[in-house]
Amino acid sequence: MAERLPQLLRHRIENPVVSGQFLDDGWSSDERAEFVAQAETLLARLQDAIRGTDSTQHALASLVLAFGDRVPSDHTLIKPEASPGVAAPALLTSGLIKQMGNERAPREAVKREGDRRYG
Amino acid sequence: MAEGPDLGAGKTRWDKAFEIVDSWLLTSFEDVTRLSPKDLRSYPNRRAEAGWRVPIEFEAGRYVFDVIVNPGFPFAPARAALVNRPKFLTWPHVESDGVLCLAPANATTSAQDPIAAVTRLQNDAVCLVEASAAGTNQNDFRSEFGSYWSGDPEAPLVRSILTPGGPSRAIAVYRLKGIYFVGDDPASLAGWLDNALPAKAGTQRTIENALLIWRDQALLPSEYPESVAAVTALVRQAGASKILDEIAVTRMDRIVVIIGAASENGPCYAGVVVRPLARGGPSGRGSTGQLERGFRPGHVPADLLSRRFLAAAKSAKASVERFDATWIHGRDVDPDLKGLRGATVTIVGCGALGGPVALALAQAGVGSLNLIDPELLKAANVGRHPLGASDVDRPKAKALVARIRTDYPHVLAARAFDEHWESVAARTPEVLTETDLIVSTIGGWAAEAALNAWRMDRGAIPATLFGWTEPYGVGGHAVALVGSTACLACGLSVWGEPVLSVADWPNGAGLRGEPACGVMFQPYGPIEASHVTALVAEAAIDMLLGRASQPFHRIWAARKDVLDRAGGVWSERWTAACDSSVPGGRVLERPWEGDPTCPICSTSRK
Repeated sequence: MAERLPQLLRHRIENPVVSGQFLDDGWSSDERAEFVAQAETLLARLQDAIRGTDSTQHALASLVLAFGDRVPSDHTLIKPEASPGVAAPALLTSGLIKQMGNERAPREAVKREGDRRYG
Repeated sequence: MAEGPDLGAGKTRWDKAFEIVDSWLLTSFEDVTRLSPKDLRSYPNRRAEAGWRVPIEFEAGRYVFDVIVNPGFPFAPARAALVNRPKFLTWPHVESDGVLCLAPANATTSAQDPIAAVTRLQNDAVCLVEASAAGTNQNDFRSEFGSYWSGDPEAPLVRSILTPGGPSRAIAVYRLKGIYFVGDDPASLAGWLDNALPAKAGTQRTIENALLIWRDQALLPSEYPESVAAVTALVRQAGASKILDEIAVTRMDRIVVIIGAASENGPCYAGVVVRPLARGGPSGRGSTGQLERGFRPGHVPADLLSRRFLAAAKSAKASVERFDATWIHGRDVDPDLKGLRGATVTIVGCGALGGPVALALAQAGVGSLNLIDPELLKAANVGRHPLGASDVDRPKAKALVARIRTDYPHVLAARAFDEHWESVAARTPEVLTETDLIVSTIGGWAAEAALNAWRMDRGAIPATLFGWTEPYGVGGHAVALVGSTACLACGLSVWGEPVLSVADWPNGAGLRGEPACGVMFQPYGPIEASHVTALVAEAAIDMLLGRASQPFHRIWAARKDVLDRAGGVWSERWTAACDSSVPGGRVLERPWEGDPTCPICSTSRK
């Protein structure tokens, strides 16, 4: 479902009950882009949790990021099914860093102009 | 995992954020390790609680970064430090401990996604290293000069009241132990010192000559003068060698050279102090034998004497802190300052309203102030007057002027008149006539009616602002009289009551008496009064800057619950003036209408 969600959100969403009506009436293009980006982030975090690590702690951290604090905080509840699919640690290069830094979440993580509140 | 800081309830949040980043860095990337306690101690001023060593491969080779987090993480951003870095001041934005300045001090970080925040940090660090290695950001050393130039430990701190800008010129310096003051000339520096550091009567200050060299660009670190020869080279480049020679032959003790430059962020300054290698040595004061060798005493050519002195001297870099008016008032970017600095304001009545208005105008940069008030400060005034217990039994005007001179020593003139305004008008009328604005905060009909009539009799000049507070501070008024189309009396009853007041008082206005004959007061506090202070001070600024061409009336009305607690109700006229809008917690501006039947101004206009 998470894999399909970004693509679903990119297009008009028909009302499955009332023919000819749409569930996304009133969405602006900016709002749609925001929803697609959030769905992509959700997918990335789920993939990271499921296939991106053999660390149960890391998987839990990714799940918390995806679904919030209500995910049980006990990482022993996660049972790895197999480890061969886990990616090997990557060599950190300046190119890789810049590629990661150019994604939406890192770009929006810091506000250089600050919070516009002054004491 | 690392042991998190003791944050009470916040610890869980710190732990969780640390764990997320820790797990991500250690499992996702090669060769990343946690920082040891010893590693963390290499950042003694960063409150580093934990961190990671992160090697990153660049085309030019491997750079190793430390990512450190403090107790405020994840709300406080992680910081990156460059471990294998070039010598300090080779690359901009790299501090002496290797920590990188990657974002402005006011930048904020989202705590929701600590991995994203650390990724952004690493991205910015990579970009900085690439730009630094390519040498494309060297100009940042100039635009942020103040962050890189630092004084030598043996050098004094220099405070500057120099008018910002060139050209290179002789200036004046006053030396105290560990702190020097520099100004454009002896007179202006002495005036500033008299305000900032009042001396006992008869005390003589020794003000000496110094040198300002002005450059088109701030120095790069490689140009920072580390020797007297380097200083003289900079002086020569600035075409100021002759001034330096003149100072050297007269001082032969300690020479202060200020290096000023324009930068994209405004003027910046550095200081250098040149002094003899050894006190009492051959070049020391009073021992000029070596300097004059081969010549009769007093007959050594000036340039030779200067060269001999400078050859036997050493230099120390000094930090310069600006104290000039354009820096103090708006850090060089206040467009109103020029107009305010050249203005003169005369304030009549320096009580709970006039006192803070006077200080507000001084703080805004008004250059000249005359304060008139015949009263002494009493203990009962302290609760809502900017002067405190230490000034009790001193004249309010005089004590306020002393405060203004000490706090804003660049004020061009601040004069106190501990007398009634009528006396001032009789003895020194220019105080009232040669002013850009009179602000009357007497808040009493007898004196203000006379002042209003005096103004109208003189042809409605100068511009005058009347300010007052309503009972309990629930309302405040600023009546700006510009020109001759209206006077204060036009909007008041014959007893001085405003035709338009914010509040009515069904059970009386709460005037209280002290246990003394005839001494009455209004029981409002400094918080309620602060709104009215702002109202009046802002109106004064608008008048000084020519933003008012017609008389106006600004009214502050407190929030309704303040009115309710005081036992007041909105007046009918006020409610009508607000039309259908909310009557409380607001400022209303309306014209101050002239009254054709006004007994004061209709007579004056004839």
